[in-house]
Amino acid sequence: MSRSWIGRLVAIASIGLCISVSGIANGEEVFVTIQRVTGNRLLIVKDTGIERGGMMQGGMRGGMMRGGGFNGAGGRRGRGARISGTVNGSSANSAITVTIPSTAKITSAMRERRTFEFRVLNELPGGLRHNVFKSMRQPLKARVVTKDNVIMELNVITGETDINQSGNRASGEPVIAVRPKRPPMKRTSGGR
Amino acid sequence: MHVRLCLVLTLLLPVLVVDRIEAQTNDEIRFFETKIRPVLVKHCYECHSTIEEKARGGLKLDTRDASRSGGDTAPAIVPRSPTKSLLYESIQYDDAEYPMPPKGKLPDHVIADFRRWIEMGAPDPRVIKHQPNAQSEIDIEEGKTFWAYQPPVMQETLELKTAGWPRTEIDRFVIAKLDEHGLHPVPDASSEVLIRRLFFNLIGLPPSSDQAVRWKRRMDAAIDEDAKQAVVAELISELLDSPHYGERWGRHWMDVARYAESTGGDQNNIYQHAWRYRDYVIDSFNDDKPFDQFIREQIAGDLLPIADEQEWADNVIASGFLALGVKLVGEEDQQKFFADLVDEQIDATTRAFLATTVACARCHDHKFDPIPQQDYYALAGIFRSTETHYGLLKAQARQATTLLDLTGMGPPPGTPKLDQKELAALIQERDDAAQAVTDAMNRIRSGENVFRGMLRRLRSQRDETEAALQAYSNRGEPRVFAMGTQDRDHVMPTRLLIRGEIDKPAQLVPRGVLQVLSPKNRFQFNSRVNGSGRLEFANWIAAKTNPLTARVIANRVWHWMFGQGLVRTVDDFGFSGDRPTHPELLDYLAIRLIENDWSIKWLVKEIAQSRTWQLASSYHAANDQIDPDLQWLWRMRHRRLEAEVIRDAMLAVSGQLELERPVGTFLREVGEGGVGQNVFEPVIRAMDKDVRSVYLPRVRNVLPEMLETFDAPDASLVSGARESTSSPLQSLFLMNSPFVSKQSIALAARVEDLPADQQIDALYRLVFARSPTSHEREIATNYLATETKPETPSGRFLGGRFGRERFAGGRFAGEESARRGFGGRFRSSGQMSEQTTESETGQEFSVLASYCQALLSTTEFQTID
Repeated sequence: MSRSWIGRLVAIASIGLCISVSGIANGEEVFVTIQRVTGNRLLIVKDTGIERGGMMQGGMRGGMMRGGGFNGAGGRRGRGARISGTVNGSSANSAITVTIPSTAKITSAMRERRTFEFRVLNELPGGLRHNVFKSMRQPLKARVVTKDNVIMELNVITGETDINQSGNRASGEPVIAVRPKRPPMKRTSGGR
Repeated sequence: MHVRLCLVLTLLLPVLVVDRIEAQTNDEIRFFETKIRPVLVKHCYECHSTIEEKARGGLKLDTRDASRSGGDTAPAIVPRSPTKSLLYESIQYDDAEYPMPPKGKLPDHVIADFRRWIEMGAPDPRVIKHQPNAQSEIDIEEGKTFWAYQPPVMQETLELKTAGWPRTEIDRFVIAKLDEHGLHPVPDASSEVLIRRLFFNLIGLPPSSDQAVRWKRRMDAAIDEDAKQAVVAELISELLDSPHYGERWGRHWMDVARYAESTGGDQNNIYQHAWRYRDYVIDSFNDDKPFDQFIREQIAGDLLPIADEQEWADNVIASGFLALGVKLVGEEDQQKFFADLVDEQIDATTRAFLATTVACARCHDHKFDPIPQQDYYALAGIFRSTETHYGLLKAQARQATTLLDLTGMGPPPGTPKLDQKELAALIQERDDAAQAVTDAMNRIRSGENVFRGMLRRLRSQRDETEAALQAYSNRGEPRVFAMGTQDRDHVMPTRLLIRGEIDKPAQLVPRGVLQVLSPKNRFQFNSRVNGSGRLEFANWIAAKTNPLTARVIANRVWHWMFGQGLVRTVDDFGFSGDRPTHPELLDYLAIRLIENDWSIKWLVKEIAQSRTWQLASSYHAANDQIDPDLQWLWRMRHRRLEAEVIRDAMLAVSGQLELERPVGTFLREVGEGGVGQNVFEPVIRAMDKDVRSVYLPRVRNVLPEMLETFDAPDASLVSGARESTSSPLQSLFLMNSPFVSKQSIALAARVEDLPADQQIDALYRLVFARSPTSHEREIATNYLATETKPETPSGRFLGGRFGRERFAGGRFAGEESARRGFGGRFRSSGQMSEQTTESETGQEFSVLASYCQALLSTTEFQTID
């Protein structure tokens, strides 16, 4: 193979890489799996491959993320298959630690049952202190939205589609009423 | 050459682009995370962080940008320059202008860590970008000079020209204005008029003929005016003690509280449990609950200290005030829905209690009132940190929530107990519905085409039957559910939204109250406020020092007594509202109301005993020239009764009115769902029980026909003043309505056994609480003597002699299933109309009944003087 052929090949490869990387760099959302939450830091694995519903539109640039050695398993994906290690035949990404700014909006999210459209729901009270993260038992699917290298939103797919709280018992029955929180008792010597 | 260049580019680009902002090394970040951040969190965030809603000296240290931009004086951190970094200077403590932290100097090695960190370039991963802060140009201090925002002042002395006229302090204020404008009050109302006025105003029912005669006799027998007023006071007290007072005045408040039993909006789903708030309001008025307490319970009832479970339950039910509003429950965007929900709560709360239109400041500073956009979002922070529980089913409404379960806490259930057979049937129904969904899904999986609408309906039925089942315990005991609010576990930080758009957040706004109604710099909640801040907000509204609260409710009561407020725009005390005609009187009422423990009954009695309120409504040409709008109160306003009162009065005079409060809501018979989808409008409209109108189903956009025709509000907004229109539809309704015909027949039945010469007198006493004039008697006699049977209008209830028992009992088919509040509900209008017409046909509409209908259709019957 002549030097000119090699040159052309490298040129084409670098242009292709430029396009793909800038595509990631200009993207504003990335789908991830949250492996662990510590304070305001998340250990995440970027989802790879084409999501059902075609929502994989870009990547998250660095700055907020730094590499780690974690090679975690993914959580449940879409409506079915559990992923572990590989996705669509490609290697799973390594885990990354992301620091979530205190001003980022942290919301619940869902995928529409029929179209798999990603739908952002309401803000989670307490942000990363919300029970979704505190009592996290399995990895959570999420979307990270960035703007100018800054994480603006974290949309976590949870069971919470109710604007107040979970709509189902562990047994699967819908919860239609909850017990109110007990207020303090009146002081015996107090007036009205 | 270009090959090498390409190779270099290929290798470098990923590094340049992906890690472009990874200027900070991992070691540096680790240093920050281990050495710096914990110290900041422990010693600094308490006074300098968003999460604590504090920025002492304008400084926040919880973000990189905020740390570097610094506070009021200088940048807190200047990378690579410890000497220029105010933070470093402060933590050195000695000789520092602001030695920090205030509780004591940090250890030397920590200070050294900070120095090293700054020399590194202050690596900080807490990168955020603030939106430009929205600034307000409103001058709050200038706004405070407006009359409504000044504290009420008691005017001690009034110099009167007409000194002998006033009977109470109210009269002194009124006559002063009358004198000022050269007006002369008309004579006092007659005893008959006064009695009728008192009955309708205080309990919303006409006096029975016995009551009218008895009280008239006593008033007329009084030897002087003082004795007569003693009788009047006795009558007022008797009426205020009546349980019907709460039904009448509770209905007034329900207009303000935009009480309804459905969501309104696009889907108009039924609120099956709103009736508990209705009963709470009625009981509160009957118990003369202090109005400040009434406010606290409605805004923050779930947070108030309790003495027992019953009080807890009542307080939770009271907080249903915040959950009753219009909601677009079909909204897909949950954040938008939530923002609208909060907006509705802010609007209802501030209009109802403060007559202030704060919600106008959602998108921009208020155009007329001194309410900056920050104030709106300060309140929004309170309501965003609140859970609103209003129920609904997920299969029927995207934005459904849970209800609050008050079982065993005291409130009565709204449905009867199920026996084992009924419970088993309900379980079977639930299982069948669930199986139907499973079957449909299996058919879909097998490739069969299933109509999506049918699948939706099946899911809806499954959820509905599941909810119906969950409304009972395993033994068939009904559970007690209610709408209401709860605090969230965490406060939701709230950002001001530019133009009110969710995707345009600007600065964080700490929770707080309206600046214009607060002392300077004391409008934000401090960090010690736990929970949502609703309790603090409620206490602030209900405070004696709040210049608006007492004035607003005093003005509302005045409006309900006179038909027009001292401030005519009862829901708007702002710049675009009207000014008070009698500001000193309004202040007097507000101050006296507070002094009398916020007692609404006291205020009603105070007004009813005034001579101003007891004036006749007679015309006076000279006065009318000067004051045609009656703003100076030279006579009583002649006004039409509210829709509910007209209906109740018809039922009362016909002897058909059931005075017992029904248990729960009639809407349980239609079940859950949206009007037009699972619930049918004609079925709701046909629910015409003979109870007081306040207990009729109150579905938005589907009011009972009579109430709708006579201007009952639709409860979309706070409605302190009702419209009073006059339209041909009202006359046509009175002529053709089966309801009016039915009452006419029943009224005729009450007198038809009397001798002919007594029938007319008896009818007048029943309908108008007076005797007929000779002219009226002559007209009636001539009409009844014709003996011509009137033409029977189509669909009219026919009948000659109707016994009371004809009207008793249920009219609805499916009583058995309706008791359970599920299944067997009327899913089509045909069932109802067929039932009605079958039972009522074949009867004769007598001449006497026709005459009764004419009396019920008169202006005199529908109005009070």
